[in-house]
Amino acid sequence: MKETGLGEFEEVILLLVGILAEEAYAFRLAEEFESQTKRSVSIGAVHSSLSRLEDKGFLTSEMGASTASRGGRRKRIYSITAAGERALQSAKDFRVSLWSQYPQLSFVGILNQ
Amino acid sequence: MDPNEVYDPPAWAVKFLSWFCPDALLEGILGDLLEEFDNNVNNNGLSAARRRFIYSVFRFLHPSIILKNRKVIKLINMGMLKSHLKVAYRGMWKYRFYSFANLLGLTVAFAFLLLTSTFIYHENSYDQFHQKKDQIFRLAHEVLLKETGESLSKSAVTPVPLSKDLQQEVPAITKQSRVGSASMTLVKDNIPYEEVIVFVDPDFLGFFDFPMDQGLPKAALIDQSSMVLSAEKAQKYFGYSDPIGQTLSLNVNDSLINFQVTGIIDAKEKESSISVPILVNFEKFELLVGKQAMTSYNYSAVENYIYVETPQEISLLEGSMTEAMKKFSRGDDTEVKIFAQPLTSIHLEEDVPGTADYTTSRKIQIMAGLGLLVLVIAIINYIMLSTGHSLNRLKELGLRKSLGAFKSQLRIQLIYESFFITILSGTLGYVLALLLIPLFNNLIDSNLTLGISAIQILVMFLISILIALISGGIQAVILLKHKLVAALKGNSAIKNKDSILNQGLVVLQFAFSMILISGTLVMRSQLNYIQDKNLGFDEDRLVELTLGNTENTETATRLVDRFRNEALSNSQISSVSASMNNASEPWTTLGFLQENGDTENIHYNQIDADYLKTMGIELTMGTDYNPNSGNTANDILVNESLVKHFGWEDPLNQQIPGKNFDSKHRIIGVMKDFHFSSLHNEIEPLILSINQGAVSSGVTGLSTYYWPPNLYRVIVKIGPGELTPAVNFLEETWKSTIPNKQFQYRFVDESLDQQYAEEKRWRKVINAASIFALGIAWLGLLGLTRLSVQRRTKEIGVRKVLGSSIPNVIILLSKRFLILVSVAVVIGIPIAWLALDNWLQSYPYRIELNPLLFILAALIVLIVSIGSVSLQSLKAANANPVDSLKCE
Repeated sequence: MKETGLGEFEEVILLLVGILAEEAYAFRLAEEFESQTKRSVSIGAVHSSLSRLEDKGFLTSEMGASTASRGGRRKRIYSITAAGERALQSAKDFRVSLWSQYPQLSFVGILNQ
Repeated sequence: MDPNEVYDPPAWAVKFLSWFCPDALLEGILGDLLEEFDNNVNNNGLSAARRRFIYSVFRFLHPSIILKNRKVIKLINMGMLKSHLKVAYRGMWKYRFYSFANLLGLTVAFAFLLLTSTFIYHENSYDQFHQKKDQIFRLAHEVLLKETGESLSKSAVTPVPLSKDLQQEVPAITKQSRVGSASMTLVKDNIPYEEVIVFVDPDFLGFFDFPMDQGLPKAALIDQSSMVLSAEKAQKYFGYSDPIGQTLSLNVNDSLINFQVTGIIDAKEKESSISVPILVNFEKFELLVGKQAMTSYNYSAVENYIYVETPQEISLLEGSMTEAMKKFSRGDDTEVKIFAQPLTSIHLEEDVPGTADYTTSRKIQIMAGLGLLVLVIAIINYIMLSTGHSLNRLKELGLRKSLGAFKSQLRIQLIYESFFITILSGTLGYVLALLLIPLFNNLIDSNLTLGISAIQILVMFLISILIALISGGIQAVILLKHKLVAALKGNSAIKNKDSILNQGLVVLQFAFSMILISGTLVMRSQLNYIQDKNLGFDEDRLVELTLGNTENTETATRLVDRFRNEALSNSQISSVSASMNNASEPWTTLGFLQENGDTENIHYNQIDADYLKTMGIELTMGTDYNPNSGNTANDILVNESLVKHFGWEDPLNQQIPGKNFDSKHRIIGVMKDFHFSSLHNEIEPLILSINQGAVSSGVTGLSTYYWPPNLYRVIVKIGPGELTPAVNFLEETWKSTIPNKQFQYRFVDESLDQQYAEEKRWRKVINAASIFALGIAWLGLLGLTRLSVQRRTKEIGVRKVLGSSIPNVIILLSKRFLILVSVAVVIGIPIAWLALDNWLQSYPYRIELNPLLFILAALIVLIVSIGSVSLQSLKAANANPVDSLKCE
């Protein structure tokens, strides 16, 4: 999906950031990723993906309030930028347009299995 | 798990994370990891959580994080770096003497290291220009004892048909070339020139990448009458006119064979083990060695090169060379193994001699060793001087500390300063090396250029960093040990004693210098010994003239006789003779198979009747050849070593034992042993004969520079009087009697001297290294004494006021250093003794290690160090005590 510059993993992370909103920090994102996809992932992987997305301008981050559970350390909360929203939208549009061209027959075939 | 209990992740992992993770990111990341950890403790237990935590930390060890880190560090430190540099510069200027001593020592060491590494780099650059270098191999063979598997000899000189036969047998070998070389007479416009001609197969230029100026690599040698010249030779014979299509002739057995020039190779810039002055088609090699040698496995005469498509299978190939090995076998108690050497390793493997140019790995090791040794001495110097000197800076550091600097910051400052100096001297060292390279080339007789490679720059940079870290680190440890703030108050923590470390380093330095100097002295006296040794023949005023190839011994004898008759008309020419082998190359070795399966290897030289007289060789028994006695065909002369070898009481009329002998040869005389090979070898059994047929029936093996047996050179003994007119006379005579051979002469004593050129070169290099080493060590000691004198200025003042004399003060100041140097000498002597004894073992004719040489070396070291110590002490002792005492 060249035009958006989003990998599959990045797209999921971006979506999760949108879903989690105020709770979108690396640990929570990793947890959510695991529960939604049943795939295990390390915080490191999530983090490097997040910073890549930040470099691309799809995310911004700021430090949240401090919490006792983390030894008083603040969370880095991520939020989607307008460019990020657009990238997600165009990724989705692209898929829809591909699906619309997909032959109906085999689609039915899959459903019948 | 008790939810109220607080569990911690491994502390080191947290520390590690905070070390590599930039601060800006650390809080968020560590928080996430801690949250995960707590989560895991509740769900999976403590130890699983810990493991997971460690795993997660390492997952963050990722370029995107670490690289962000560096940027941050640089940003933060640019300002400090500037300040450090400024302080370093001011410090250097304030203490000019130390800075100078430091810079000089390191600069010299860097320059020496650069020169030696350039040499090593050059030696490793041989044959690298061939694109397919990894697919080209040289075939070599090893002779092993069947029973024990003991290796008897290795050689890359192999029979002519080897690679061609192998190509038939092994499909993986797609191309091959023989490389045979010989000195021949090349003729242009009726003028003869002696040249080395290299015979190769047409494919040679195809798979080797010798750059061709003109002509097609694949086609240039296909025609049997084609010839490819190097650019130098083309220039020599054709100047600036176009050489392509021109004709040159080779004189083979007195008939001229024409060749057309079809290509020009310009390989001046390339380092190649195989030299390619003049190339011709290999088929022509037959003219030189005869039909038999072209197909026989009995004669090793050429180097065989193969080109394979899949080099990784070369070990399998070696296994499948069995058929060829059988042909190779000599039918005695030895077996022959064939192996393939990668092209790129030929230059560095001295244990497989061939005709290609090679170096000894020992040479490279010695060079590397010397370079490192000088560097180590300089580093020691630097560390000693800079630590000693930095005690002067306790106040500055104390001030920094009291203004809030952390110890780690002071440490970094010291390291930065060291780095500043090492980088500076690295650069200066490069400039110095540029200036010194002509001298260095002169020393080792080479033609190096200081093209600095990326690797060298990197290594220099790493060495600079290493020195900076070590010396800066040591300074930091020593300085920061002191109570810095106390230094501010004026009751300085400076102690008079030099540290154990410094004392150890001085000892180490001078022990190294001691070893190098005794090495120089011993090498010198060994060389003198070798050069002055009585060789058993009279090499003075002896001239060798190159006769080269002739049709057979009769032709050669006729030519020599014609020359002799003319030459002896001049009363200054006392004698003229001829022989097969010459003074500088190893003589022919003949192998004689014995009844019991052993092979006796005996040296051989074909001569004429005047040989002993001309050479001045003495007989101990029997008679010399008498030209008038008629039939000499079966007469041979042997040396004492041969008689001793066979244990004969009465050698006269004995025969050389051998299974295949059918001749009636007999020993007519025994010569006093003389050195026919260099003094690197012991005198071995030798046979001389006028007629090679006397012993040829017994020969079952052979190794030789010249073949077939013939007279290849004329030897002339010149009597008393001027040499130049005599040589001119010889040239005139040569031109009138042997006009179709070039007149080439060499004085025998000069060519014998050439055999020790290598040793002379090494002596010069070690000489230079020991001068560098001692010079640097001297500089270090000078600095060290100065420091200690400075620290004791007041003490000296007080002593003088109380009536101490100047010599007393000098002794007081010098004693400690001289004790250290003496310790170094005592440590150095046995090490040097062992190393040099080991080196001397490689010479069968050697000097006894003379203790006087070591005493001399020790004296040199002591005098030099007394010179540097007392210079400073004298200055201090002479100073007016009032000056030093009133400064408070």
